[in-house]
Amino acid sequence: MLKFKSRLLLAFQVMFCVVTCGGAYLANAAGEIRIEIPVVPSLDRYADLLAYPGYFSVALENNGLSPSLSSKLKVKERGRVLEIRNATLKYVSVKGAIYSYEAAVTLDLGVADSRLAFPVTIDLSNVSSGKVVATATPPLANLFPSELTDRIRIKAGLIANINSQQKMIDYLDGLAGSVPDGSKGAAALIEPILVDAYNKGGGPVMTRGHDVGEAVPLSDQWMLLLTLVIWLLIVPAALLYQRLRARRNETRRA
Amino acid sequence: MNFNSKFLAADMQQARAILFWLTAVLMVAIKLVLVSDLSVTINYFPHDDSLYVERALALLSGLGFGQYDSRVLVKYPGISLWLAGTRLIGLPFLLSVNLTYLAAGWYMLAALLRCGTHRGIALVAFGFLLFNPITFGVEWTRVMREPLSVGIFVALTASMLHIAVGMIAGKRFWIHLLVFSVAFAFSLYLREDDRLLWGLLILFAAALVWQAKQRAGGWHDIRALPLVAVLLVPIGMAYAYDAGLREFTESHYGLPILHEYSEGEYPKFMAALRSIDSKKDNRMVMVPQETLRQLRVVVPRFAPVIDRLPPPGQGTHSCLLHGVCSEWANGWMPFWIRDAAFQAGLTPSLPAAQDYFREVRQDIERACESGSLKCTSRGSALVPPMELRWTRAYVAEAWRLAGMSLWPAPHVIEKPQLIYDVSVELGRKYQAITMTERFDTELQTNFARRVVLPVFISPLSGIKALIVTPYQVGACILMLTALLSFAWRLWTLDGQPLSPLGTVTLVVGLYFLARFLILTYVAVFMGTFESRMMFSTYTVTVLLALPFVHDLTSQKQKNAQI
Repeated sequence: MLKFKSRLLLAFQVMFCVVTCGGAYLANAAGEIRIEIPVVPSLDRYADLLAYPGYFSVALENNGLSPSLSSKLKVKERGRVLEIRNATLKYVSVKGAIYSYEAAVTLDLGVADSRLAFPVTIDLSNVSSGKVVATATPPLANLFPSELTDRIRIKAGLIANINSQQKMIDYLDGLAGSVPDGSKGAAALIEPILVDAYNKGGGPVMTRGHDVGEAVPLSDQWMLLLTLVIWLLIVPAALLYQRLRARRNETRRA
Repeated sequence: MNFNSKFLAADMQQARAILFWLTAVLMVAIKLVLVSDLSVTINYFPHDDSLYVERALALLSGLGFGQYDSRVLVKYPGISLWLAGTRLIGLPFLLSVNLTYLAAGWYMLAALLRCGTHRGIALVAFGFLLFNPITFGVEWTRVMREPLSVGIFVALTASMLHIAVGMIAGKRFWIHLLVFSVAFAFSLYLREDDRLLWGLLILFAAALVWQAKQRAGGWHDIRALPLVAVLLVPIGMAYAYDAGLREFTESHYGLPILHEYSEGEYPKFMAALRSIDSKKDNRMVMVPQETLRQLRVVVPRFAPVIDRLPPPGQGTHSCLLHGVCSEWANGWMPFWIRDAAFQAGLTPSLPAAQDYFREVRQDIERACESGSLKCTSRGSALVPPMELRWTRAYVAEAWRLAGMSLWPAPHVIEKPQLIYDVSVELGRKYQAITMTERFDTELQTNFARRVVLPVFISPLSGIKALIVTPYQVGACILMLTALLSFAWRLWTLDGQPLSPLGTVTLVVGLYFLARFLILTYVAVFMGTFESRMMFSTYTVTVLLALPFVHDLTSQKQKNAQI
């Protein structure tokens, strides 16, 4: 049966936070960034999706929980690699409840690109008690300013969202229930996730680049303007005129 | 026999009065039971809820509104002062909002009775106020300005009624003028659109003068002092409050600026950005990406800010909420620019921020003059002037806003929230300031933990959702009836003086109309508002509708008898 999901989401986001911010954490051990994330224990059922960070991020996107709102995700190597802008996360191995990844960020130094890579682990051994630990070990992590690490922790706290996690569980439960031959595990969920992503994606009718609020020529609005003039100016003026005339007649009669 | 019947009649009248007040008290008790299981909704909205809480915390710590950053002065300070004040006296925030609302309702009930409204009618109107579904909704429990604004506006209207009645009866109304002045002055720095209350004051004063002239039969016999006082006391109080607030910000931030979006250099800077011509012609986009690309080259001083701006895209709030996806809509870009300038270290203090935005504006103006940039003046305020070509958008926004005025979405809370999407640190700050009891750090940090203590649910909790639709239907019918009655009144009783209730309702109605038209204009450029913008309008209109209709019909009958 598949396990976990939102943890992964959190973990990915935290890791990309770490990567893109150049980021760091209050490390107990030198050079280590360690973040504890609260999770719903039932996420444990889908933990093996952690071995497919690319597919897992697609599942998140299907639920409006994309790890990046401004950049398109790229899925590579049959879901083992996730790429967002200049950052990548690659699944390496799993030992017991500890999933290992390689996170990398490509830096443009003007004359050449430089790739900075470091290991990241996600420890699921305490999922049943509602905790997951994400650990990143970037170079010189203990030199990061405490404000930055605090911001990362706050960001991680915001990501640790019970509603999002519950939404993902419901979504994955729904997909698992729809697998026709009753297959279990991450492999059985991959196809439904990708089909769902296709169905939710835009087709040829989707108009990109056409924003709400674009200017409309005045010549296209003359009917509306005429209607407004009739109802807001001419009709009230006619009523007022009629009323004043009736009043004048009443006064004369009196 | 006569003697006995007189006593009997007096007893009956007294019994009715007691029954009336007992019913009102019972209604208040039911209302309190209905809302007893609501608690503050804790959110991380750094330009709204959490900003107000952080500023209140700083106020109580003697740090002004907090260390200067790009956000601290982007919203008026009223709500933070209220939060700090209620915390100082140990009153929980949500309770303070509910008490303000109830007290204002009670004050209004007394005003309606003074106006001669039938007790039954007054009680029904009071019921409409108490069981308003917006008071069971999520916007009501957030740390926002709207709920407070609604209660204060009810008090403002009630005080106007008391003043109008007092003037006709020749009685003293100084206490009510004081209530009006305090509510007026405080409201001016609560919500940005409450600056429009200056219009309400002028309308009210004009209506009182008109009423006095009609009663006196000319200008000569008018008692001028009370009329002048109605105008000058609120103005004096508003200016004193304004001066105090400005003195406070100057002492903490170096300049007497309360709101950076409407004062100082920032609106002029945004107007200069907007003046740069671009192929993008969208009412909701004043700083297109094309303009930024030009500015990056022409105004190098602004480049560090441009480099830090987030890119627009399909998943942004601008795209999801306003449908502006290839750019950032006006509801976001001005905030992003301020944030980016602060993050770049260019605006570390208020004077430095003013200098920086002035210098960039002057660079833009020089570039426009030299021809490096093609520019066209589009006003000098944050919101551009209206153009005829936006008529269709104006009508569309007016239609939407009218819908919200008649039928606002209350978002009633049906299940109590126990876990919030905020960090523990922020939750604790909320707890410290709002005194909310429903924030459990254990639950917040460990989703495996189960709720140990029982969660209180009001025995009437299920009724809240059931009230919504019947209430909204009834309220909508009432408002439309009041509107039609007023039109009929204009047609049939032309020239007849209005009662105090009619006068105040007319004043409030005209104010709402002006507010509606101005908000529509702002929505054309800033994007569609949420229905909470119309909560105060809705509440007061529903409250006054039935007494107003009753007042008009009874006046018609009186005139027919004469």
